[in-house]
Amino acid sequence: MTPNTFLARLDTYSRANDPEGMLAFAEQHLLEVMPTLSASEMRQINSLGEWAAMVVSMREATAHTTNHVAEPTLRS
Amino acid sequence: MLYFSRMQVRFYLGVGEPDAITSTWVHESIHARQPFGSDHEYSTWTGYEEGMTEGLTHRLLISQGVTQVDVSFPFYVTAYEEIARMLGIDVVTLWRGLWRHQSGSVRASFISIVNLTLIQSRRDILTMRQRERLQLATDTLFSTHHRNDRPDRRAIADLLKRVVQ
Repeated sequence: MTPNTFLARLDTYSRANDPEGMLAFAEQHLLEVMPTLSASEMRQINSLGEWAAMVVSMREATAHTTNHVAEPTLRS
Repeated sequence: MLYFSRMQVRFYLGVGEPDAITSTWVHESIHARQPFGSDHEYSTWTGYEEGMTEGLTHRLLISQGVTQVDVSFPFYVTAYEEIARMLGIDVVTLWRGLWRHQSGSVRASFISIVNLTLIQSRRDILTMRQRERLQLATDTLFSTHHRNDRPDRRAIADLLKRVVQ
């Protein structure tokens, strides 16, 4: 896989608002493309990956907060 | 808690850009200033958060003598600089005001922080119409789709002028 193909796939996941899919794809293929990446391409990957990691973290944080709020209701 | 990817650390050391690691550290620390808010704002208009975060990161690094690090999200940083220029306010003051809000709530507080910064700069606050127009323009500029775009400073300034003034 070329860096361009890799970046295009990440972008597709981003446009589909699928951060989990993007992270899973990146984890599977990043090692394969890394030896051929330039610093500029790595920065683009970081930008896309950061978006995905942040969205996933925020969703997890929201779910965690919701659980805390929901807990007393479940007990009552 | 911040996690560093060993793979990326090796990569940046391998390509001779160790300062990129410091930059990432500062950038991610700014994101972690408070518990995260909702993902909706960040996933749709990521530029409000990333532009402010990277703008502050870059200014901080420059103040410490680190000048060779490329700016991540240059489109968003340039957009902030042009917004501040158009309004006659200091962009770092604007970023510092926004920094007080958690990741995921920066857009929600943007207009009130702009007005606060205007007051601190002894300038008139925005009218209701200007607020609506500015939010419209910044929603366009800070859309997630511009994440990897190269900035055209003049085009950004023209858009702001056309929409807001």
